[in-house]
Amino acid sequence: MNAIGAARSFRKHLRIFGCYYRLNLASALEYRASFAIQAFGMALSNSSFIFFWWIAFRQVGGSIAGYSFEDVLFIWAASSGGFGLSTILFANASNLSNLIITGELDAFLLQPCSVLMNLICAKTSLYAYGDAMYGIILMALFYAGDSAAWLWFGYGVLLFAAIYAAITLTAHTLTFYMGDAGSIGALASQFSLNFSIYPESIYGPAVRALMYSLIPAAIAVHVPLKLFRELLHPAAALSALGGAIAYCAAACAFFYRGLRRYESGNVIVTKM
Amino acid sequence: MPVITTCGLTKTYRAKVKGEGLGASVRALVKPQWKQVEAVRGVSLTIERGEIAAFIGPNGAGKSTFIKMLCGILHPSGGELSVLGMLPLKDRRRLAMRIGSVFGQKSQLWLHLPAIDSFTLLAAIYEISDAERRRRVAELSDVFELGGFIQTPVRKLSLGQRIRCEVAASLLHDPEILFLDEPTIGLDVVVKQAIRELILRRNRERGVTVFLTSHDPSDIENLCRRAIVIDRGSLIMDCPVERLRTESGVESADASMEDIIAAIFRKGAAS
Amino acid sequence: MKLVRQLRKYAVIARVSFSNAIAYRSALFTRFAFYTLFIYIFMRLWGAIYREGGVGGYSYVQIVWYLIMTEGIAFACGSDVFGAMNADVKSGSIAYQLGRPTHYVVMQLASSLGQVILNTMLFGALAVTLGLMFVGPLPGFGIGAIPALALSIALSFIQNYFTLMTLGLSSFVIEDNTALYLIYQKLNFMLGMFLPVEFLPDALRRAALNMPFSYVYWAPAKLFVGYTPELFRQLIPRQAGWAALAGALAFTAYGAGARRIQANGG
Repeated sequence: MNAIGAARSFRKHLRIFGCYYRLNLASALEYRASFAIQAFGMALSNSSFIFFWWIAFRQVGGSIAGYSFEDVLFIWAASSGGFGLSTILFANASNLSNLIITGELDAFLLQPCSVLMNLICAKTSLYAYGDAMYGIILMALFYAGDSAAWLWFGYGVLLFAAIYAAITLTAHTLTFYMGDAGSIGALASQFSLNFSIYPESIYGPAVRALMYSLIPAAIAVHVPLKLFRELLHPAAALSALGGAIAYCAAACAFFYRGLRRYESGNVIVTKM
Repeated sequence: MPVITTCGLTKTYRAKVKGEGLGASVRALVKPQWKQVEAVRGVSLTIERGEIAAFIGPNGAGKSTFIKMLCGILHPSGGELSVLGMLPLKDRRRLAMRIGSVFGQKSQLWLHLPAIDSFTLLAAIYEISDAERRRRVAELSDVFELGGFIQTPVRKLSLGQRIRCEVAASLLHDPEILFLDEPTIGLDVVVKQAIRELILRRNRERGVTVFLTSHDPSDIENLCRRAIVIDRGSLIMDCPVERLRTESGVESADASMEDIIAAIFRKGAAS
Repeated sequence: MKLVRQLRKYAVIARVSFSNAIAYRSALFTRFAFYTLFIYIFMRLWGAIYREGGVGGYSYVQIVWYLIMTEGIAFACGSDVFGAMNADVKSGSIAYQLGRPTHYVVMQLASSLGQVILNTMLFGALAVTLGLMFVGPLPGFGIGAIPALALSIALSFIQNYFTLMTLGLSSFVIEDNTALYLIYQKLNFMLGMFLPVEFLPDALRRAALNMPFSYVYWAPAKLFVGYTPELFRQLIPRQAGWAALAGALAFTAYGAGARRIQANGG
């Protein structure tokens, strides 16, 4: 494809993306009450974790596993904001196993645009707005005037949104190969979250290796924190970004490789 | 000029064979047994531009596998295939721009939003400019009489109104071939007739080729000129709809289309 | 005799739900994985906290077993009765249940019981395995405490179940009651499931002990890690009281709702 074609395709997909976003929001607002309650529910749920940390720090003071209470608030804000953004934009990634098994993936193959983009952007999660807002509120409450904190928070949110979607997608892509991988997908998502909302040093070396490689949630949360606390050279931000891009690219390639099995009909049998 | 040509089109699946019970499940996990399933066996046919063809067959005959190959969803395992001069899987996106589909109960409309919003999304997907979209929506809304409910959330529409929106949605990008899978299922007689009338009109005015699967004998009788019957993956009959009666071997002159189709299916099963 | 026949009926319902539960093997596997993951993470987390200093009267081994118990109750005895009630009331199918020769509330309980008993056995086995593997046996725990513990867990289940049912039935009068459910759930988390009541600031602790929420998770787990006959005599009557109150509320809510249906139609 030449440069003009690529630019045209990019504009087209941006337009579709915008359309999905508007429709999803409008769809959600059809049920205004439930929208508000789901967002409230998430904020409440997150608060119960913050409550836990508040009690824990009240008991032992100072720092836990090398993280101060403010550090914990920062990783919570970044995880919650990033998770929120990811599931506002790409909620359908976690639905992939389902789409494959029910054959609803067909609908996306019938449309003249990128299957992957079309697929993962087609849905939004209502809870997600609560999570995203929660991240921002935490930052506003505890880091209001600190521009460095906001910078690394924004960096973390973007990285987390992309990486979380890529991890979820990769796990659900396994359904192309082995039949329903829905529960593996749910576990992978759960791992990513749990790797990011606790101080990384609570985990042993094997788990820490995992959170920087196969399920690289750590680079979107703990790396920004270290950058903010100036424990890492700012250049590390670039390598984390490069790592995230490489991981997302690999996730896309893996998806399209799996899709070929769907196209060749190997997956359809799971439903017979 | 043919718009669809297939020659010896074949599709085989590899299916896991699994016995009953826990023991068999464990065995299947360790050493899965496979068997070949031939869903479509060497089907050759040609469809000309502007035809309305009915694709008939008992459940599990291979109809949807065949259509999925035509649309570029599935890879053929053998044979040749050309749709609008393209290889469906290779040119999936280019082909998708030129074909439309209404697939069974799978809706392309957003349930909680008015149909007009879904049209806007489809316009973005099919690269239709805003001005052009407004013109086409106005036209479709006029022909399909959607004016009264195009602004109402789809979940509040009656089934008939919804199907009219579905068909209109599939025509928004002005496709040259329309694939319809059971378009009238669950509709009352009056609405069925209206939908058929709309499809016929589109065919007459725009020369749209229609490829339809249906279990409803009156769809076949009132809409289609050609009947293609497939059973267990093989083509068993391909003739004008009027000739189905003689081909089926049903003697009685007042036998309904339903009796005729039943006779053909039974004949297929017996052979 | 009549009572025996009555009980038999519900025993059959419980048995059917038990066999039904066995059918969900793969779903169970996922829940096992999640349970193990949560226990592992909280064990590491509390390990890090205890490295900084001792916490309010619990040893590290005790706190890990405490969490194994609270999470175990949540996983094994959790129930979607709230959602089921809500759906039944909203769809109006609760009206059909009025015509059946069983009491709706009792029938719901019986049909959940099979699942819960199976889950308790399975998660119990997993919980013990994980505990022994991660931190070794719980000091001071004797086999003799098991009946007391079983009673405490049963009361916890009944209290939680009837509370959820009452919340679900509230959809007779409240249009969207999900917020109530969420608040109830999170209060349970904060006042017992994540951490023992003893860790809370004084005022909050005193308040918690006089509210029902802590008796769902904290009471059985506390009894488990620090069993003494005095503690048993202290906690069980309170648990029983809250459970009875929750049950009374559920029956009343159902009765009121049923009269409403009979008066105005579904």
